[in-house]
Amino acid sequence: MDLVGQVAGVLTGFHSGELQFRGLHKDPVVIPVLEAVKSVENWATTVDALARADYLIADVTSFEAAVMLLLGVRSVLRRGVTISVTAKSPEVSSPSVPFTAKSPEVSPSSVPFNVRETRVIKFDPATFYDDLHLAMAEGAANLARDPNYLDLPAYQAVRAPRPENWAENDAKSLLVLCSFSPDYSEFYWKELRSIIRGYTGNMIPMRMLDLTSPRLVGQALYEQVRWSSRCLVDWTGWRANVFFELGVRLACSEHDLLCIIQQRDASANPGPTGQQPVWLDQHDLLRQLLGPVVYEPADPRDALKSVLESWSKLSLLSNSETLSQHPLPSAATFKTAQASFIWQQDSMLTSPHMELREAAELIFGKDQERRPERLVLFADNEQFDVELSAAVRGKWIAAWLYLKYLYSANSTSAQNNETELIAVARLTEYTLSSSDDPRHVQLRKEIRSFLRTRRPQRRAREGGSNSG
Amino acid sequence: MDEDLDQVLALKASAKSARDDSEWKEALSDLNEAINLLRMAEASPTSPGWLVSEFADVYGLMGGVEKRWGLSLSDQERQRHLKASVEAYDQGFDYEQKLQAGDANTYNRVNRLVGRVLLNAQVLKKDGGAVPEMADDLRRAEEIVIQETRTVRQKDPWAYCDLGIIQLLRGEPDALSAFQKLDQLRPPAFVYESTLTTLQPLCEVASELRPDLVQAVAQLQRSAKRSR
Repeated sequence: MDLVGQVAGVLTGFHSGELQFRGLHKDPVVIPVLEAVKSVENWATTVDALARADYLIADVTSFEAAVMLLLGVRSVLRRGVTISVTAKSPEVSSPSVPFTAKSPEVSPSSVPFNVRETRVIKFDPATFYDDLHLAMAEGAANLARDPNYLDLPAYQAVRAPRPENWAENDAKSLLVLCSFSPDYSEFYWKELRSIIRGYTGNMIPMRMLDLTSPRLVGQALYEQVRWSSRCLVDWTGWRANVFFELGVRLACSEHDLLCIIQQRDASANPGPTGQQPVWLDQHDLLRQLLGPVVYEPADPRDALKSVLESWSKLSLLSNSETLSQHPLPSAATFKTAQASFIWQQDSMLTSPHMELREAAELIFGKDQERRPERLVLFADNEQFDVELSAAVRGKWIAAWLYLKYLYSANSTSAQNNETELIAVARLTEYTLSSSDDPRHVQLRKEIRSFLRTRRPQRRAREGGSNSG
Repeated sequence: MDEDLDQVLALKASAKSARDDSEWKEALSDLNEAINLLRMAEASPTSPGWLVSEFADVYGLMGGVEKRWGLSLSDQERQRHLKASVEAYDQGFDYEQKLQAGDANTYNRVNRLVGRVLLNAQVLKKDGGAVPEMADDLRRAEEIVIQETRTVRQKDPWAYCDLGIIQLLRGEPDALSAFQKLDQLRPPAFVYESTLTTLQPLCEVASELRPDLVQAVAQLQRSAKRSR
C-alpha cells in the first residue's frame, strides 16, 4: 500500500483549507521500521521523533514486533494523535472499526489486546484519503476538546500514582511480560516459573493475569510496567502484545530489564528461496539492539541460572549497573524519552483558572443558554442539578479570584493576560447573575465595577492600534 | 482562533448579563464588539468552523436586546427598536440557514416572524396584511422544526419552544402540546423565562387573533415556577 503517498496527499490537500493542517509539513517524515531499530543512534532519534510528532500514522499490518515496540514507546510519550493503519481487512461496514470486529483475516483472538480498543483504519485505496483525513481531523479535535482523549492505551495508566502497597510487593516480586499461548503457558508453569523463583532469591513472578490490583486489567498492567523495579520480558513467540508492553517499559522505567527468548525463536529462518523475509530482518535487528538471553526450552536452567542470579542482585539505586550485553545502554530509552517528552503539553501544568474553566464547561458546556441540554449523567435529579449549578459558580469564582491575584502582582506576564482576565470576569459575572446569595451579589458588583474600569482603557488601546 | 471564540463567548455572557439588568446600551456594545471580532476571524484565510453559528447567535442576541428595549418603550421609540430587532434577526437568519445539521437552530427564523407580529399583529390575518409571505414563512418554519425535533433536535428544549410559538402564531389547535413536550425535557428555568419574554408581548398584541396565547403564557408561567 502507498501509505506515504496517501498521507502526503492529505497533508497537501488540506494544508491551506483546515486549521489543524496548516502548521504541518506537506511531506510526512517517514521512518522505515528497519532503520529505526538498526542502531542505537537511530533508535534514539526515533524515540525523539515519537515524542515530538503531532500526528503518527503507523502501518500495523501483521502487528510486526518492531512496529508494536515503537507504538508502545509512543503511547507513553504522547496522548495523541496516533492512527493505526492496516492493509489487511479487520472488516467492514465502517471505514474504521474497533479491532473487536470480526475479521476473516485478523481474528479477534490474534489481535493484540493492547490495540483491541484502538481504532484501526483499513487501507482501501478508494476511500483511504477521506478516511485518513477524517481520522486526523477528528483526532485533533478530540485531543483539543477532551483532556482524557487517548488513542493508544498506557498514557494515563503509566502516570497513575504508585500503588499503596508498592514497597512491600516490589521487594518480593518481579513483573513478567510474556506470551499467553497454551504451549508457552504450560512451559511457564512447569519450568520457567520455578527457575525464576529459584535464582532470584524466591521472588514471585507476576504475569498480567496474576496481578491482583482492583483496577482494570490493562490499567493494572501498565501501572506495574511503570512501577515494578524488576521486569523480565520473554520474547518467545514474538507476540505483538509483549512488544507493545516492552516499548512501554523501555520508555517509562529507568530500571534495567531482562529480555530472554527460546532458541527456536532466536534463530533466523530463511524461506525456501533462501531469502529471509523482511520481518525476520526486523527480528535480527531487534535482537542485536536489545540482546535477549537465548535459552533452550528443554534446559532453560543452563542459560538462565547465572543471568537471573546476577540480575536479581543488581542495585536498583544505580542506573549505571547493568548486566545487559546489548548495545542499547541501560535506561537509554527512558533518558531519551525524558529529554524528548514535550512537558509543556502535560496537563499537570494547566493553569488553575484554565482547569477550573474546563471543569465548569464540562458541566454546563461553553454556552449553556444556547445549548441547555444537560451534559452530566443523571443531572435531571433536581438536587444534583442544584449542586452542579453551585459547583459551576464556585469554579468560576475561583478562576476569577486566581486571575485577579495574578493580575495584582503587576508582572508583565499578568498584564499580558488582561484579555483572559476580562473574559473570565465577564463569564463569572454572568454565572453569578442567576444567584441571589448576598455574597454572590456583592462579588458580581465588584466584577462589574472592574469591567467598567477596563472598558475605556480597552477602547483607547483598540483605537490606538487601529490608527497605528 | 480558540482565543477568539473565548472572547466572543465572554462578550455574549457580558451582554446577557447587561440585558438581564435592562442595560441595553451596554449589552449592544458588547455584541457589536463580538461582531467585530467575528468579522476579523471571517477575514482570515482559514475561517473557523464555529464562525457561522456564532454570527447567527450574536445577531439573535442583538435582536433579543433590541426587542426587549423596544418593548420597554412606547410609540415611535418602541417601533424603532422593534424594527432594529427584526433587522438583527434577519441578519442572524442569513447565517442560521447555513448551519450544519449538528448545529441546527431556528431561533432567528422564528423571532424574525415574531418581531413582525409585534410591529403589526395584522400580519397574522389570512392575507398576511403588510407581510403577505407571513403565512408561508410560518408554515415552512413549522415544517422545519417538526422535522428537527424528530431528528437532530429531539432533546433541544429551544426546538419545542420555537415549535410552540410557531404553532400558536399559526393558530394550530394543538399548539400547547409542544410546551408539554418541553416540560418532559425538564429544561432549566431560563428556558421558560426567555420564552415568556417572547410570548407575553405577543399575547398583548395578538391575543384577539390568537386566543391560545393567553393559555400558553399561563402554562409556561406554571412550568417556570416549578423549575425554579
